[in-house]
Formats: sequence, structure tokens, C-alpha cells
Amino acid sequence: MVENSGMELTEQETELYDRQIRLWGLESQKRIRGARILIAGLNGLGAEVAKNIILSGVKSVTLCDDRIVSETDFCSQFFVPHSSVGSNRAEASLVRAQALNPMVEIIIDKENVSEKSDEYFGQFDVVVVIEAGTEALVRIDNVCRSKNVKFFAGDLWGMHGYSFVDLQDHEYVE
Amino acid sequence: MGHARLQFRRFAGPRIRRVSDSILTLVSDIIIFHFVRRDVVKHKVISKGSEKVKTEIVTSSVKRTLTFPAMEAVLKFDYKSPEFARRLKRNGPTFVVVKILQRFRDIEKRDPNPKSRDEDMIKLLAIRDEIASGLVPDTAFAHVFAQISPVAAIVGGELSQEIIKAVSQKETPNRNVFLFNPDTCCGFVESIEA
Repeated sequence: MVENSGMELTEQETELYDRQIRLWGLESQKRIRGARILIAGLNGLGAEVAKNIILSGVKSVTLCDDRIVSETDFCSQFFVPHSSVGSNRAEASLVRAQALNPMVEIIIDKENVSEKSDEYFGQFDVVVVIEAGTEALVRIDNVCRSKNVKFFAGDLWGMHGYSFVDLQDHEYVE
Repeated sequence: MGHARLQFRRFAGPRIRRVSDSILTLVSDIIIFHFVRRDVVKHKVISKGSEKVKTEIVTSSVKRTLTFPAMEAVLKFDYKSPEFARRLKRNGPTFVVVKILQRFRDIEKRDPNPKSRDEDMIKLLAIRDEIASGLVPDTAFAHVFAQISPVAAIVGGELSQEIIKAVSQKETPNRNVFLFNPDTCCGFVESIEA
């Protein structure tokens, strides 16, 4: 489709995102402004992705994680404070994540992403799944395919990392 | 004006010098006036000539379509094929290491933990021997615990750039797997499908 989104940016948004509008254009920024993103798995990699996406100025970011903060998170999960060991990882990330960009709506979901219903994934434009089992990855990818949602997966163990992209049939301009 | 007049006298030479001073002044003034006018005219011409020709770079955007394989297709990918062995040799065994680590997670329902390092290492090597014998050296498992923040920044940066590309429908996306090789500290894109 690659059509205009029809959404106008506010003056405040145009000012804040000025430099990235120069980089990728006003039309791209308008599309980004309308995107609803799910990030499941808030480990170090998830925090990096969440940081970049929140700064870019999307509509909403849902942080979904049922794990608790452990000491190994302090290597690279910069959202969680050291005092939060034992609390929910998504919830502990909220304050610092929101501080990056008050204009992005951040929603916290403390449930396990693999137990979510098929309908749950339909409300997003992009689904990112990190730190999940193979079975969950395949299932969520298939659900996203049926609902025409862009699916991303990624992981990092020590220094071995990957990212996987499934955009189905993707139209773009270059 | 005085200086110009002197110049003129010198230039005009003996012919004009014979004429009375008043006429000379008048003539020289007229000529100087003429020069000044010519200067003005000349200046105008220069300003017109130095005006830049307006050029505009016109970029025409091309609409394209890419089709991506599903996760299932990536999991069915034959990483033991001789054709992929060449790519493994060139880029390092990261894809297979990731597969082994993912399998460890599926079996143990957790990731390798530095608190049980030796025990987890034995389990990882056992999985390696089972699904990818001879493809990955023991040394590849030296850094598999927790998450090293600079690598998180690289892989996370690539992943979020792909998300922005997908949402904005601008620029060609990477199709379809990005891997990071810790030995060379290089990231690379592999097209992996069954």
C-alpha cells in the first residue's frame, strides 16, 4: 500500500522528532507515530529494542514479561534498578522507559506471552518476541501471519545473538 | 574625483592640455561620470552572471515487494548441507550455536546460568554432539552466559532498525536473519529458508 497515513504530527512532536524527520522524512515519521508495538521478553536485548523504539516516537509500546529481575539482568538490562531484584521485569522497567519519551504510551503486561490468545496479537502492528521457547516462537509467528502483523524475534546468549524478521509480503519504497 | 582627473590628464596627453582648465574639468567630469555609470552597469552584469543556476536532485522512489519465509521454514533449514557449510566457514558457526542454545532452553526451560557453569557446559556440548557434531568447536561456548551489553546494543540496534524500516515502509529490509559472530565481532545477514 505505502500510502499516506493521514495522521498529522503536533507541533511538539515535530520539534522533538525534528532530526529524525530530516533523516527518514515526515511521511515515515507519521507512519511510525501510528504504530503499536509489542515487545515480549525484557532482557538486555529487549531493553535495547524498547529504548530505540520508544525514542523513535511510536504510538504505544507494550512491555510483556512474566519473569522476575535477577542478578544476570544487570549486565545489560539498563531499565531495571538494582533494588528491583525479585520484582516483575516489565513493571520494574516502566519508570526509566517512560522517562525516555513521555509522548509514547507504555503499557505493562505481566503475563507470559506464550499463554496469550490469538486475538491478543491482532491489536498490534509489530510483535517482537525475545527469550521465548521454539514452540512459542512458531505459534506466535503463525498467528501473526494470519493476522497480517509484522513479526520479529531475537535473542542473545553471552555474545551469540540473532534477529529474525518475518514481514510476510512486504511493500516498501526505496 | 581629483585623483581620477589627474589620471585622465596624464592619459589625455598634450592634445587636451591645450584646452582651458574649466573645459578640461567639465570634460573629465563627464567622462568620469560615464565611467562610474559604466561601472554600475558592469556591476549589474556581474551580479547576474554569478547567480547560481538552480539545480534540484530529483529522486524517484521505486515501489518494491519482498516475500518472507515463516519461522517454521527457518527451523526446517538444513544447516548440515554442503552448500551451507561454505557459508558457515566464511561467517562462523553462529547460526548453529544459536540453534544449540535455543534447544538448551527448550529442554531445560531456562538459559545457561553462570552459577552452574560447568554443569551447563556439559549439557551444551552434549546437545552439540547430538544435533551438530563437528560443526562447532568447544571454544564457541566460552561466552554464552548472561548478555554482554555491547552485543545487546548491536543486535538490538539492528532489530529496532528493521522494525522502523517495516513500520515506515521505507528502505529495503534485511531478509531474513541477522547473526553476530563474537570471534570477528562482525554482524551479517543470512537468507535462511527451507
